[in-house]
Amino acid sequence: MNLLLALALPAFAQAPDNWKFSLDGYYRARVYRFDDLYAGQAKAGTYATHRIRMQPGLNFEDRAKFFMMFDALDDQAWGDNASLASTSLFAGDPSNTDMEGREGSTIELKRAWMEFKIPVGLFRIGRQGSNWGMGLLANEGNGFDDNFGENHGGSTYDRLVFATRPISVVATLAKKKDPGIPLIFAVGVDRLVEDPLIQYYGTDCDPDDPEDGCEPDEEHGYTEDRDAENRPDTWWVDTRDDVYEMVYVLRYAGENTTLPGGRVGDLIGGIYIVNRLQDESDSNVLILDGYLKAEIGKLYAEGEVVNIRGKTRAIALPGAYDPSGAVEDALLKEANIWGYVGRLGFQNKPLTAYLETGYASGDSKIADQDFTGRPLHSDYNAGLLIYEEILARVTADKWSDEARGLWSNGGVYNSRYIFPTIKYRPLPNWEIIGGFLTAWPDKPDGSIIRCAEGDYGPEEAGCSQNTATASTLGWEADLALKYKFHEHILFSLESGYAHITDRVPLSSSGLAYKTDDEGREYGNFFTLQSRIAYEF
Amino acid sequence: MRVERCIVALSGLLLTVGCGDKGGAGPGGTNPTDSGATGTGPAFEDFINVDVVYTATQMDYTPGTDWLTRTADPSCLKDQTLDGLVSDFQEDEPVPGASVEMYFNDDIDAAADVSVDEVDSEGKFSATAPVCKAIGYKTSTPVEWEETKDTYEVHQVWGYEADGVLSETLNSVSIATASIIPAVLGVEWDPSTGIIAGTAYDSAEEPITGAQVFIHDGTGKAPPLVSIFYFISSFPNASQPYSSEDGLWVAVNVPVGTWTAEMWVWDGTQHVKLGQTVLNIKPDSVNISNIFTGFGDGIRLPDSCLSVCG
Repeated sequence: MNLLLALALPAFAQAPDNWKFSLDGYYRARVYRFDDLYAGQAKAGTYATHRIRMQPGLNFEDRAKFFMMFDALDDQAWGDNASLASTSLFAGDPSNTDMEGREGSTIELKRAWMEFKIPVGLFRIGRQGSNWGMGLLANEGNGFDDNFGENHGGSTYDRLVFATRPISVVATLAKKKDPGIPLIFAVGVDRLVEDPLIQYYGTDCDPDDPEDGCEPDEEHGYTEDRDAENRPDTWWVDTRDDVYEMVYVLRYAGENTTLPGGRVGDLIGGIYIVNRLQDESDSNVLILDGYLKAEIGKLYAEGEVVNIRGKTRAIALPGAYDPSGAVEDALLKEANIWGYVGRLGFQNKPLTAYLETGYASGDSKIADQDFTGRPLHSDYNAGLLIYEEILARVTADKWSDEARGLWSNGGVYNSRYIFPTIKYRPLPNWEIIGGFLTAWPDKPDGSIIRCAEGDYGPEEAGCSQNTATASTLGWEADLALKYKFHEHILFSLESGYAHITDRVPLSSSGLAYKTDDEGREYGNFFTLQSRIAYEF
Repeated sequence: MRVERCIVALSGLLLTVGCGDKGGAGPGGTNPTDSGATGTGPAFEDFINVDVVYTATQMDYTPGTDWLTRTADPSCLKDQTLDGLVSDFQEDEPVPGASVEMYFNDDIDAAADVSVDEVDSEGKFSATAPVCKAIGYKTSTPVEWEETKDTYEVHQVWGYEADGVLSETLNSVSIATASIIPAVLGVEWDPSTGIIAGTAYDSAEEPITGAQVFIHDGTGKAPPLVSIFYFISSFPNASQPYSSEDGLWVAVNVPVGTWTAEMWVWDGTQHVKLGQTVLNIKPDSVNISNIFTGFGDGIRLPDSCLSVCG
């Protein structure tokens, strides 16, 4: 070891100035107040959470970089909520309790990756964030990029990716001048699962065939929970249960680009393609995600469209069966999921105004063969209440812990919306943002979104009962005041008021509700939230 | 036999316009001809419309005749030691800390004859309970735990055990299970009502394929918002119109009160009622109750109770 150090130290000593250390991140604290959120709530409820994010980096001459990302006190509630003190009144040290009441760790290493250049491109390898476009599908959850609300999650993958400028490479090989076209192509692979802890048997597992892994007389369903200690030492050998995905990206990032007609503006766009695969469940899912952003003069347009399609037999939810009985494999699901967000507006120095519209396809019958519902990424925030709080709570209540994968987690869910938004910057570092969101259901399922007469035609499978009358899920008005001072301190005061119609099952989800003169259920919700952050 | 189908399919909802026939409080029979349903509530035809001949392994009952009776031999009517286990209905795992109340007169409105405040860490408890006699029980956990729904099972008959010790499992339905079943079925469960889940049995106590369930207040009037679903391979399926090979059914949004659940089948020419049970529904509860062919009260004594015991 001493010899290794002796050999290594001179190398460091020779080029100390070529290393750069960086530290990015933030500390944020956010306080929430909700009036009349839950049924029987006597008065306004308040709580506060915080997070420290640290991303140290080592950069060697821009040729080789290494990063880590730590989160500490990650969305943990203020106070001792684990009774560390035997008497609450004498509580001192706070606990690491999140808003679901779970104890977490004080600090967690979430990402670590390296980057290095080669003559024809750049490699990035490791556990890394993933972001594309507006973040409807892949959203890193970094920073403070939402008008309203907070980032809580973030897309992270164990990934190997190579990126290159194909036109530049071709020009170089042809010994011609690099035209400087900002077109990037990337290809990567993500290892999503090496060996799932939940054992998959599917529908055709034969107990008489030892290769199928079904023990005689063993009782199990299509899947079986197992403990990690029950996993054999050879758990990594089986490749049939591996889940991985290929990632392909083509991105054009034109700044100050001369556009047809001679106008100059920023034009960014591209396509993000993911092909997710698993042998044992015959899963082959293709994700196409297109993005375009144009800022030409005072015109601002931005949009992203996601389509997820393909077949899988991996979803073993209760009721995930072919109702006709015509399909031999009752687990077969055909995915065809859509989502989009589009913005069109005007911007100048003091003012930005745009109309936003968004959509996340729903699934009227989760038990049938067509798998059509998926929320937009939970860190793409549309407002403060309808999606972020109300539908998040309703989906969690209805799907319960047994199907957490179907929770919306605050993402846009089974609906379409319009959300005109205005940002006004009266002074440097000050910003006032107002928005008015209205949402309509896509495919009411009768449980999370109630059905109303006329939702489905005679030829379509609808709900067993029509218990709603409204056409919309509701509306909400949001207002935010943001101020940056001392270069690094970010302050935000946000408020929202929402009216929820009888489309949303407030009463059966334990949320506050009222009934009108005709017996229709509705709810009015109010929140006041404030964030203060130190960004570095 | 005329089967009226005044069903208008509109927007996926079956709306029936006041021309339905209904079940009734009498013994098993054929599809009744007296019209009783009025107003806009659901009618008999909304629930009983199967046109596939049912499948059963044994049928010892002639529809339309008096209900069968089984009388326990007096020597079997004893109290025996109960080694009870409270177990999760879905996961088949113990429910530590659950409470148990047992009603030896099969009446959940009466004072409990046995109350166990808290079963042990393995979900076990001991008590003394009658055998060869219908009883009811309730399992629950403290509301603040947010773990289980109040789970009732009535008309339960435990057979005589020669060694005097009963080893029985009492069901407990988790909030997660009770929530996800309506969600999968695409129906909203109003917590002021209850859920009934059970199995349609033939005379050999084997599941019947092709059975349908009709729930009414004793006069043929169905609850306005009740929805009844069936299972495929023990999983709920909104598109399954009658019981499959597992015989399972579930009724969601059954209001508080006393309700009759009838089991009907199509015999090739008409709908016939094979059995029924009567249940007392509590709010925000799950009620497990089976319907046995030939029996009008959901109580079918096991064979071990019919001959001399001990």
